[in-house]
Amino acid sequence: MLKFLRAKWWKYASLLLVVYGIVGGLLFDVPRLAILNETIRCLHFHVPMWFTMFLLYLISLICSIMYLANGKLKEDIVADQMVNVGLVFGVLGLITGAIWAKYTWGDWWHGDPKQNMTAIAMLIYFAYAFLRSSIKDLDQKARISAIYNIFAFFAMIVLIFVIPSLTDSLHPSNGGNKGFVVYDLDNSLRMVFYPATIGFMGIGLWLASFLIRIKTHQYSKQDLLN
Amino acid sequence: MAFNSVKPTTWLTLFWIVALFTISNAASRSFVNDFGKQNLFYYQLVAPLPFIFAKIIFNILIVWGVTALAVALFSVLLGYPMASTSIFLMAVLQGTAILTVIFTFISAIAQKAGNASFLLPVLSFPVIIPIVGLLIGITADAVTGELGANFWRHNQIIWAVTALTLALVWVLFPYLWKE
Repeated sequence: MLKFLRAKWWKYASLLLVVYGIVGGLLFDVPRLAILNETIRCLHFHVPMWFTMFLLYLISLICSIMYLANGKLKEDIVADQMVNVGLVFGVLGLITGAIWAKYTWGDWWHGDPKQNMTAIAMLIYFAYAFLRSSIKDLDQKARISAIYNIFAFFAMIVLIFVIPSLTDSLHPSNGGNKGFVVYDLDNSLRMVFYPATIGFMGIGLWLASFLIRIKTHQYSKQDLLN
Repeated sequence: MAFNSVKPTTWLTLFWIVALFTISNAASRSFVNDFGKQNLFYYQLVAPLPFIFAKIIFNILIVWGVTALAVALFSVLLGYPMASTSIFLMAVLQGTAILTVIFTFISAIAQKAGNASFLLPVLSFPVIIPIVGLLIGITADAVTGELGANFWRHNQIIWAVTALTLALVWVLFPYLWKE
């Protein structure tokens, strides 16, 4: 993991993809649909945020499990910083979603089940950050927060994917709304959406790699890494 | 009595809030109060899994007892709006049980982190609130006496969350318990 984070090629590649995604997302032709109109462009910015957040939390989960298995503080640093960057992308996802909701649903916060449950899932990860800040001893901190992190990931799955599927939701693929599959994502959107998603994922990992390097440096200066 | 004119939804909401604080107190007491030496004693005496499951079962029994008292008091003071007691009983027994499992596990985390009384609500409430929402939905069916369209799916989710939490406790508690 750390070796991959140190490599340079994917960082520049994802930067290019994000620039292409922003330019293409704002300028390329999009399908004309009633109500949606130009707001359909939000797809290229809103959805990649959540995919990136999910990827970062997934890496964090894996690192937490590895920490419990081998007890190396490096794993804990990666898990922690992945969650921090994931929170940033989650907040951006909420903001882009709120802007879109203002122009299509008519309100910044609509109270859609998926919206509410996602906000609660974010609170769980804020609680993770809070838990870390309240423990002094490094090994204690790493072990306890790894346990809470694993718990938080499964809670997030239930909150974002299971509970909203019960009720009718305005989000695609919930409660009979199949928009994403049937007509939303036609080929002209795909050409921007997939590169933009990969690009934002790369940018997320890049940000996390900065934070991990800073933290690793701090720890090794104090001879804390085993 | 003037008290009796409470709407069923208000009754249910008040009831679950009371249940929530009961459970939170019972669960936090089970770990927060045994500091230091007592924990060291348990640590030498028993394996982690029997220890946590014993705590969970004990807490569930206490919570069921206190909830029964709460239902009795509510019925006297606010009336008993349930059309179907069997649905209500089932929902309350399984609902309080799952909430107790989650609270007990998180209070163990909070106790290990120190400063437990402060951390417990922060760590547990985001996890608990959606489940309480589901439970209010299930017990609302007990008021009408008819099973709503989503009744079984809500129940399935509650069971799935219970199974998932128990599995996580099973796997993770031994790591939490060792120093």
